[in-house]
Amino acid sequence: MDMSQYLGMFIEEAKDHIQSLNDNMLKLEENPEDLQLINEIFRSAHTLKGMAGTMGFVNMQKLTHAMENVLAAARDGKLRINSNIMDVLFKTVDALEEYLDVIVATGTEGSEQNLQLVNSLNGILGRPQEEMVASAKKATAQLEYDEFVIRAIERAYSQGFNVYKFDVELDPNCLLKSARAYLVFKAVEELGEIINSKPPVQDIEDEKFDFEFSITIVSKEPLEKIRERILSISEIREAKGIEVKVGDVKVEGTQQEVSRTEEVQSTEAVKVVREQKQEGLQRTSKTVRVDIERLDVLMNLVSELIIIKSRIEGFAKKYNDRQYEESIEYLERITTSLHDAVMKVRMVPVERVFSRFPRMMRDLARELGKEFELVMSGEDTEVDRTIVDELGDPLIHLLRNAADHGIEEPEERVKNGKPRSGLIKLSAYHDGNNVVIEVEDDGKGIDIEKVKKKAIEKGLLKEDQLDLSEQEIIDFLFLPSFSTKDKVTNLSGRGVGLDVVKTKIEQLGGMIEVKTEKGKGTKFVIRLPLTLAIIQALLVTVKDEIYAIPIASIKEIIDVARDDIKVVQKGKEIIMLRNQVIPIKYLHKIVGLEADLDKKKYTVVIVKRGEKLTGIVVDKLLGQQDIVIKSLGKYLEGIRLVSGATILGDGSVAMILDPNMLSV
Amino acid sequence: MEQYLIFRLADEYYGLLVSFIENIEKMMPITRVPNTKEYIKGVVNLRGEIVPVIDLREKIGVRKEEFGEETRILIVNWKNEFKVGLIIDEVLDVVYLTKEDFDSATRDRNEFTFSIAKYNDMLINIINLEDVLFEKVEEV
Repeated sequence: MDMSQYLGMFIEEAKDHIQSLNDNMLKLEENPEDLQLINEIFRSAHTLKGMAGTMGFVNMQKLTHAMENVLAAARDGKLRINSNIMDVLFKTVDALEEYLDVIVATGTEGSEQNLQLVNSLNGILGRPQEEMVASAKKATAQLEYDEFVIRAIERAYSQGFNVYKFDVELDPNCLLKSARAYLVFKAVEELGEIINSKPPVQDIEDEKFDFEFSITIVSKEPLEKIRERILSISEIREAKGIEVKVGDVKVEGTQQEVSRTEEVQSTEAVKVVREQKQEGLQRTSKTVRVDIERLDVLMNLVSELIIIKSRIEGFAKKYNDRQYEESIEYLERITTSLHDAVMKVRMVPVERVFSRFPRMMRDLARELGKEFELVMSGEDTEVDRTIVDELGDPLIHLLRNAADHGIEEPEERVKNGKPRSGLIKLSAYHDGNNVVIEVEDDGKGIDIEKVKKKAIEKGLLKEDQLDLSEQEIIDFLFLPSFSTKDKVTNLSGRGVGLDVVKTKIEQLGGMIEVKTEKGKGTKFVIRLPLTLAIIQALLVTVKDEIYAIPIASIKEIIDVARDDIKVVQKGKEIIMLRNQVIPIKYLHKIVGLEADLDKKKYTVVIVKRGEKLTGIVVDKLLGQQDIVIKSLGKYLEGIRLVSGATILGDGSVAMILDPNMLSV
Repeated sequence: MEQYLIFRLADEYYGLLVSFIENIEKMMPITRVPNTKEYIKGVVNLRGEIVPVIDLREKIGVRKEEFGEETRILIVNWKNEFKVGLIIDEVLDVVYLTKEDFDSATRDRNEFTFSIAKYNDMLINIINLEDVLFEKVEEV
């Protein structure tokens, strides 16, 4: 069977399971006795095993199987979780992740067998022992049925039917055990009726059996015929059949108390599984996994619709017909709702990115020999998928930064009257049309003097330029190849600096700020738009060119008399607005046109970049509009000032100004 | 034997491998993009797609100011990575050129052409698209 069509689904789901393994194992590390957690972890491992098996990823399947055994032992109270076992389990999850990476890259799991890991997992259990237990169980289980089945057997005999019991053994190389078992069931049911199976059907469907199972059937056919029918199914190694006589059977549990309790336990396990199944069923019926490319197509179509809508709106002004206007308004409402709906479909919680950090920070704390706790909040904050996908790297960098540069050694913290263990907070929340993500630590803060010294060293700052504000000095940190770190650790020297973080955030149309206080800590604040595709913009003109400025970055629009523009510090033009000094720039000059300065009054658009305000002089305001952001393409990549283009209602193109660059 | 589009820039003839060319468009409104090289005239709206446009005459250095009735934009596709429009003065023909048509004496490459081909008395400068699209190292 060609499974490649399911590969994407497998990857997505496997990612989810690995993530939940990581999450739950972190929690388990805190509460090693928590049975519910062990159960969760077991279920994830179990599902993963089944999935890997179905896809034919044998090595991955073997590894998860070994892991599952350990977890099963822990679940059944035969094994106590300790830190050694946790380490092996974490390593196993890492190895699974590697498998998945290889699968993503190549479509196959590769040849790595991780034998050592499998051995350590088996070693935890003393594996051969376990096999002995299994075979002992088999021996006592023979010909024991519950009363219900015994009555069925009796009835079958009275009606002239035969009762057979078959022990079916699957080929050890068989990949889809449950599917094989299902085929056996189906084949047998053509010839008779199955009244009992061991393990129970549910367990067989869940692949909760090794390579053997037994079924008891009622049939009029001779034993040999049924046996042949079973053996005709491929990958069945053996099917041993015996005829069951009424006198041979006995009621289960009459002999041994143990087996009864075992039976109870296993039915309980089945119940849990069933409940979970139903939950899963409900969820799948409500949600659908959609390929992101399809969503992109949908988004593009909505964009086109919005463009054509603006165009029709343009016509409407000409005709001045009431009915026409009403229909346009209706169209407007529908496009807006459609846009919102498509946007919502594309929204995913930032949890997708956040969820991998606890594990990362645990490893980091060990690596650095520091003590700190990661507290996350707002994981359910939703952002457009395209942004979420890009967030990982900048956040990893900032978190590493906080752990490595921010948090002090435990002794130093105690000396300074702080709790021994540091605190790193990662939080996300919505703020209007933005999503804000903060990375905060309670460490030593950024050493302004040190940054200053370094800036002078690098020739970025002259000794006499002492009037720079703290904020301006901190901004140096975002310059390429600026590192205040004295010693190179494992973490630094990756060639990634804060400048890369900043570039990435700005590429996403966002910005980043730092707030720091010596001895108290540092906070990085990232502000991002909710979506990259469609934004509200103000259209302005200079000369005969139209430009779009994203509304999100506009603070206000004012008219300024020419006389109110003052010149300070060698030709810098400023205005005073409510006692705040705001530098003025002319859009004409910025985009390389001649400015017409002979006016009495200027229209000034005040754009904000963090707390920094800049006034941009434009000729005329055309109004506010939904615009669809289109990339300028790879050939024009990297043009500063312009963040993209948009198509206006009349089909002409307008540049979208990058507000981050306007205020530079 | 490969197919070339033959076109005119000012009073010279040029050829470009047809396989690069996706479309030939009539002149359309171009929106200037600030902060770019002068020969990049801006971008056009090609049925919903934003495509940068280069004035090939300026880029190659055969300057001619006006766009005429015959002016066309060749939409070229660079390895499926991006599309660029090249403004040319007039499309003349699509021809097959064989190795024998290329003048071996002119094989030493100058800036933008790598060879000259002869076709019916016409001398055709064969354009190396890569040189046209990308700044050369020494220019940077």
